[in-house]
Amino acid sequence: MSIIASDLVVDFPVYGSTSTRSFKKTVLNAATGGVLAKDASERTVVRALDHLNFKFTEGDRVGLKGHNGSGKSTLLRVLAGVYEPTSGKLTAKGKINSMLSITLGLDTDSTGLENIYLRGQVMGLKKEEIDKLTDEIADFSGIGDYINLPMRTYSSGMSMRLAFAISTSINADIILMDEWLSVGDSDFVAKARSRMDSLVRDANIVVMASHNHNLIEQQCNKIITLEHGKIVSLENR
Amino acid sequence: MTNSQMKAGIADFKSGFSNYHMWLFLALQDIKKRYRRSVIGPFWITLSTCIIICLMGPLYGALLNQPFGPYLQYLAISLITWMFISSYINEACSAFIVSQNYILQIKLPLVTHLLRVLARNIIVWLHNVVIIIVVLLIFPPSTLSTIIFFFVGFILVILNLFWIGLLLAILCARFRDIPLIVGNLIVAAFFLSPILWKVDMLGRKAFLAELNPIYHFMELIRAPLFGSMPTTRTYLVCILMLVIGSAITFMIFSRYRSRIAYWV
Repeated sequence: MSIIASDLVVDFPVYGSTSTRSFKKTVLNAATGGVLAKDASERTVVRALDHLNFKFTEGDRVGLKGHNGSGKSTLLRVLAGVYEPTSGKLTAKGKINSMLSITLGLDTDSTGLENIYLRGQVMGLKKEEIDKLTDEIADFSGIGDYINLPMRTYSSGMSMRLAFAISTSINADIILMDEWLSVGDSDFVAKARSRMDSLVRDANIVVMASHNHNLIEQQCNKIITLEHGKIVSLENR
Repeated sequence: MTNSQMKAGIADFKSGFSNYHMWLFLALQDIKKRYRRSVIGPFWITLSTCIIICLMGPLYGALLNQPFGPYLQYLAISLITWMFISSYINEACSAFIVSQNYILQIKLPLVTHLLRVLARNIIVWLHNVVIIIVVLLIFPPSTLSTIIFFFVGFILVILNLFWIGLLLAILCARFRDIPLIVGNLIVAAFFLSPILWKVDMLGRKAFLAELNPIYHFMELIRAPLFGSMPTTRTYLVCILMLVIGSAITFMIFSRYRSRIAYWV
């Protein structure tokens, strides 16, 4: 189990009023040869990650620090396989559970039970695998009989608890998190906390981004600080 | 296109198709969501198609001087097939754009999002098949022996629609004018394709209809239900389109697959 990045670069093309996104402009560019073609080569690019090199191995708990826009979330998305590097190389071996958005795939008009299946499918589980998890999820989220009611009848705390319970119900080799998950009232926070701890314990590699420095220092053995898409410090503890 | 891009393209197709439980589930969920809390649910699809056919059938039959029964049969099958093709193409254009939240949060084979659209439209079409069956019962075709070719034709059309949809989904993610262009073309295609009218009404100019790929798609599905056979030329055109179109689309898909997340 490992994640290795060498010279990882991610550039975002910016499409907008001044860019070549419209078909018309591209056709015009092609048709007019040199004159307007400048437009195409001068398209705006934002460099989100700038030549990153790192290696995470089994047992690593990696914390990502940095200001807003420093590239934490982009890096997590690259690790999740959402963005493929513009240049450079990334190799990740192992089953990834990306908890970047735990509410993805949930539908407010569907019942809690249906949502367990929806979210489970999105996480790549088969129906039979989800069947085995439903009782445990319903029990852990503590939403009781509401499980058979549409999710729009839930309080925001209840929906978050359900989303949390589903997302944390499967083990993975590599866990990616944007902010430590903590949801619900104080009782649930304690429960959630211990579940997160055991999930993190069982995973081989955990990468989390957070603004909470205390948390990162408690949980992580490697701390990476990003600034403008560059690694400014890599601390081994 | 490099070798590794091609391999990644093949891998995307493979895991996308084998992930059928996911896109089938999402497609079913889409339909459920659309008709939640309605009393007759997805059978609104059937009902509204039925109403359109009952209103348009007599009117256009009279306008075009057609015998009532055969024309109603022709119109029902044509219109249902057309509704399937046109709504699929429209939705395929935005297949990647509307799946943005999925594409940006979780790594799934990209064809999943298109297959979801295709599956959803086939489910809608299945609701309309009821009407085709009723029409065929009331106005039976001369022979039922050609029915098997209906399935052959349907599969050939689906395979063609897959590459057309994928190509459009990629282009539309990058160039946001294309969904609008396609939307307009589809409206025009409805009147330009033999759906309300029949090819033989064109007389000596009937060959013009043959230039329209939609005509061939319609014939593949329609002719066997009337107890006749699509021409060999229709089969040839569709198979040729399938081979060439799939090859080109696959190359474009492999080349730009990794960019799609940046475009949506």
